[in-house]
Amino acid sequence: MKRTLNINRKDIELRFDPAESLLHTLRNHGYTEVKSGCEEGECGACLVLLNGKAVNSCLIFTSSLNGDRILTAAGIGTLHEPHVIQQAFVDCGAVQCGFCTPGMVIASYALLQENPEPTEAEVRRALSGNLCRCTGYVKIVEAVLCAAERLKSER
Amino acid sequence: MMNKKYSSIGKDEKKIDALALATGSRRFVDDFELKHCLHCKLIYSPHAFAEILEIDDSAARAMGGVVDVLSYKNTPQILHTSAGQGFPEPSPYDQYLFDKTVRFVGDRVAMLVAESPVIAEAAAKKIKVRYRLREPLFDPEKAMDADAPKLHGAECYTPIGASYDPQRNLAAEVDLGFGDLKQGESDADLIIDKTYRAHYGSHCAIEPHSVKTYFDEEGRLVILASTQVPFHVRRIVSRVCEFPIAKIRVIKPRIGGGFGGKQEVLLEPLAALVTLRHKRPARIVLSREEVFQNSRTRHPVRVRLRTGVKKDGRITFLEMDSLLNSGAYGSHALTVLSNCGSKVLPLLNKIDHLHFLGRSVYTNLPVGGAYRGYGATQGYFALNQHLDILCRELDLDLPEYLKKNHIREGETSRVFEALGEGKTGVRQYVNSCKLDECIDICTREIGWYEKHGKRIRQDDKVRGVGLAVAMQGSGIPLVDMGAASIKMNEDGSFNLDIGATDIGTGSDTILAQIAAEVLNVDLAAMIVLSSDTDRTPFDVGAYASSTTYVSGRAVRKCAEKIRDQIIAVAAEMLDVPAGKLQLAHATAEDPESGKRADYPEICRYAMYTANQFQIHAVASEFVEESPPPFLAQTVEVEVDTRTGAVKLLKLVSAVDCGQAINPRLAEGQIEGAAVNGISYAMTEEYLFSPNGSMINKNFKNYKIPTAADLPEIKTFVVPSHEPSGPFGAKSAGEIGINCPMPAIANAIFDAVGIRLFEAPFTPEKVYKAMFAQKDSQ
Amino acid sequence: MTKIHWHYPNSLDEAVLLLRDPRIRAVGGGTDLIKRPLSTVGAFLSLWGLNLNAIDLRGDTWSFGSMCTYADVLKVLEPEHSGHVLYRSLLHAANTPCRNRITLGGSAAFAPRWSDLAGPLLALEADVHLGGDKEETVPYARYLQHSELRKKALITGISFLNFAHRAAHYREVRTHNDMPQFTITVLLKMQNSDIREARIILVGSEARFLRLEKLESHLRGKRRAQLDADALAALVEVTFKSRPGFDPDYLAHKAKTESARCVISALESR
Repeated sequence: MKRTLNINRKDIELRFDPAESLLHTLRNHGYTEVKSGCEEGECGACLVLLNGKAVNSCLIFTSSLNGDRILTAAGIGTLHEPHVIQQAFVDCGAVQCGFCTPGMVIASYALLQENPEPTEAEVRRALSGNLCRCTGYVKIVEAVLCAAERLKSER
Repeated sequence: MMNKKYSSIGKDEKKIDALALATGSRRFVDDFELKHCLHCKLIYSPHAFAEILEIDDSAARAMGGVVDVLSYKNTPQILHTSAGQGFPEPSPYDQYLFDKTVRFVGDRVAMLVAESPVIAEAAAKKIKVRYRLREPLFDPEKAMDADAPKLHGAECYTPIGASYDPQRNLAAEVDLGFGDLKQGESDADLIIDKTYRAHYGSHCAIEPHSVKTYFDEEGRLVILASTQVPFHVRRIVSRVCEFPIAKIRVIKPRIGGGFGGKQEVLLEPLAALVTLRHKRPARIVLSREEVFQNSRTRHPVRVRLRTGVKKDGRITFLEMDSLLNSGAYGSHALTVLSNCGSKVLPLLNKIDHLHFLGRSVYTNLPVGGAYRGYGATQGYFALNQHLDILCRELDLDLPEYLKKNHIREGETSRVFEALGEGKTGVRQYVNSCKLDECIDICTREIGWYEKHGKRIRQDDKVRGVGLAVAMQGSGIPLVDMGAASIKMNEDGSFNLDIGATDIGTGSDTILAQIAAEVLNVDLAAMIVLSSDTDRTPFDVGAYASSTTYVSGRAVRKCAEKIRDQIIAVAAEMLDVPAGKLQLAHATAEDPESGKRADYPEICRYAMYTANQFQIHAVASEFVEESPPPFLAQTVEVEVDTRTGAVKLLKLVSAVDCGQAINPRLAEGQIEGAAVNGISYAMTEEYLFSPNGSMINKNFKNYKIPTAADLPEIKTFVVPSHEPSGPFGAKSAGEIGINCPMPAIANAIFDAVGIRLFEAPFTPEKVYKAMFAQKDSQ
Repeated sequence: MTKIHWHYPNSLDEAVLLLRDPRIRAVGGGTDLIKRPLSTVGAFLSLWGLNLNAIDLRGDTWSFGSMCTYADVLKVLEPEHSGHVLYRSLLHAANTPCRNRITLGGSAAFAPRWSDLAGPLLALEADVHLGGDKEETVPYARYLQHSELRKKALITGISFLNFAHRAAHYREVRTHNDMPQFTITVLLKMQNSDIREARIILVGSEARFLRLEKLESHLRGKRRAQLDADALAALVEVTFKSRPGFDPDYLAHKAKTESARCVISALESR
């Protein structure tokens, strides 16, 4: 099948199998920052923003989309122009193996869009669809709160 | 502060690959695109124990897009171990890539090779296998019975000549001791004899095991592997695929967590075979289900501890009997078993009569392997509860008791010498130990003396506090080796090439910090390449808490050679005696004459001006001792007396890892390990059907915590200095996982008087124990 | 290529007509679909083009289109209605990204414990609207009892009366991201400090959807001071089927205890 989606602010024509998940379509088209950890909506490594909302791309049929807007972690910020959240993850030591990080960044971005000044409990709840085995989440939560603080002072 | 004199050591440098990971530009194995790649799907046994009579792959082969089916019929039959250890491996050679016998539900039967994952998946379902079923063995306690089914034949052997007897299902045996138990028994006022059981666990690295293989332009086999042991992968693939080491290159890109699970060389030979047979790239990526059931696990261990004590708490003898369930194969069976004693018993070094009997046995269940903690976790679960029981029996204060009895600086333990990793150990003295400080911090932070024994109650909930301590090692003495290579560039930057394997721990960063410290440059001047068997020198890999200590010493030694070359060039260039030159801020200077040259000038001189040569050095280090890091952890729990639900309220860790090269990364190691330990204690569990099949092989049913499930976690890195370590460093990678389970068990006892000898501490288990206690009163 | 056809109807009639073919599966949130073997599925039908995502509070009735996601519902109810039983029930359902995808229609139709919606809908005595040959509105309780309704009709929306109440919701989970062993939903209509009416739903027991009627009738006319947790728990009659890793007797005990607590928590809520 063929379909055009707006990925990281560019219209991209995608080719995919009718039973394929958005996760596989994205990865097959080079968006490898979207990671595959369980393919059952439990680990959150495959999180992307679909029309502004964080979703598990492994649970979405690409065929069910058309023209939708998708943002991946690389669409939020790049090595040369990182987003405040990504920089906060780096500064706070929230990245260990980094496999869950793009998904964590997406979840954090979605949270801070909706709720720019979250409490620690709200951060923890917002990240509850993302598993990390390396950090114990301590520094990830710290990074999200730090990013919120930095974004606030930027406003 | 101890680290004032350092410029890079002890600094919270940012992990050098962190930004590339957070923006998704650094790649993991499956992120590399290979054109015309073949996709593989493994087919597994549905039976716990069976002979394969026939594999009918005709229907699968007839499907369009199916390229090959691998099984015992068409693959090399070479006995080996998948344990990615040094050579010769201490694990028994008891596996083939594909075997005619399957020994657990999930053992390999065949592998489908196809043009796409969808075809491979569909074709895999068309393979028909006929089995002759054999009676399975599930109970490790019965494994050595004369009439027990035998899993392995006499052809299996141990390459290091360790105790091994497949006729008794004995994958490994360790039997040692000193003193006279009888004497210890007669000296005792009280004998405490308890049995503890540590259960199965999965590493749950979020990146599943992955491998990609291809031939490069010159016909050399390239293996992109999600591995902790690239050099062992090269050696083992070469042997079992019968392809020369010279023609194999193993590259480790970013790795999405290992925790021991990726020390196992499981998939690399299979993908390599596909590429060798078909001259095409091949890819194997396990599903989460396969990671749970078909890769490796934490070995369950039953530990019986018998101790005699005097009324004052002095231990007159200690007897540890450990039975390790190795599962179907003997991967790490000997060394995990050894560590259950060798990393645990030296902590109490004032015992005169001691005996350790360890046995690893085969069963028709999932296979154990390396897992963070590596036997010590299982042993400390027993020991820490045992000491809590002892102190309660004798009305002693556990923190004070531990402080009085643990090994101290300047002391040794006879266990060090008697028991190593699968063989005799190495005599060594402890030269850094800040465990007292760790215990003090943890008891203070948890409010031990306000809360312990108080059973503070609010409505149905009662609170309790628990303490546990541990030591680990820093590499395997006389075995582990690491190496580094550094060359200087004309802008004053340095290529640091290291065999050491960063699997997410940050070892690339801390090893660069060590080099930067020696060379007096900013971290940014170090360009790090790690774990490419063509490009970097050898290293055993990321295991045994070895990288900081072993590879770190190699990096330091190598950087010192570079420093000497820089000084020699500067001396020639500036015409001053080398002895007068000092290095600071990437500059060599003679303070007396004020003559100076910065690194770019020095390197340009060496490259272009006179007596031209490349400033370059290689160094390697092996170590003769394994200085233990020390850890204390305290927890506070709240137990619901109506339902048995245990809520963890707080966990405090204090660690002596020597000089932390990068305190923030060291904290991260302890925090991650602590939460892994909490998870193992509270929710993680392998559930089996009666036929030995794991029934909860997904994250829906095998639960690990989310950020929302965890309490306040505080971590303290205690100032310390290990004289033999690079800039005083020891290890931090594994130790943090050893204490949460016993500390929580002790806290549950403190709250409700229930002693739980096996985790996970589910509400149901706690409730039933409380109920049983009420009944018995 | 997988041989699966996709339909993208723009009208309800077209969708309903197509869905008469049992080999065509409707895809909404789809979170339960993707890992299923696709061999029994001939075609998928996307519900996203049907504009079934309106949310409306008109007069005394709340109505929600079946394609509203949990996140949509939470957003509308926040913050004035954050004591509402629907808000409390959906707040912790499934996990954060899944709440952005799980739809009311899918959860009402299949009633999974993972994203339990049956509890609050039964407590609210909600209606479901069915599109089909003839449009029909049926009480959700009836919909659950009659599986043929699910087969022949598509849920287009749900509605319930807007009335003041106190509520609490409990999920029996091991971690925040877990399939609950059971859920408890408590809705209390108050008259000053007295309970005028209690509706208590236990989802996930052997009966699957259980209304705790004994407990409900005991509560009528009572106030906080008159309630004793043990006595409340004793009024709960529930049994569980055996599940791997869970003892049914323990689950029953837990369900009783937590039901009583959930009532008290609802009563003490605002």
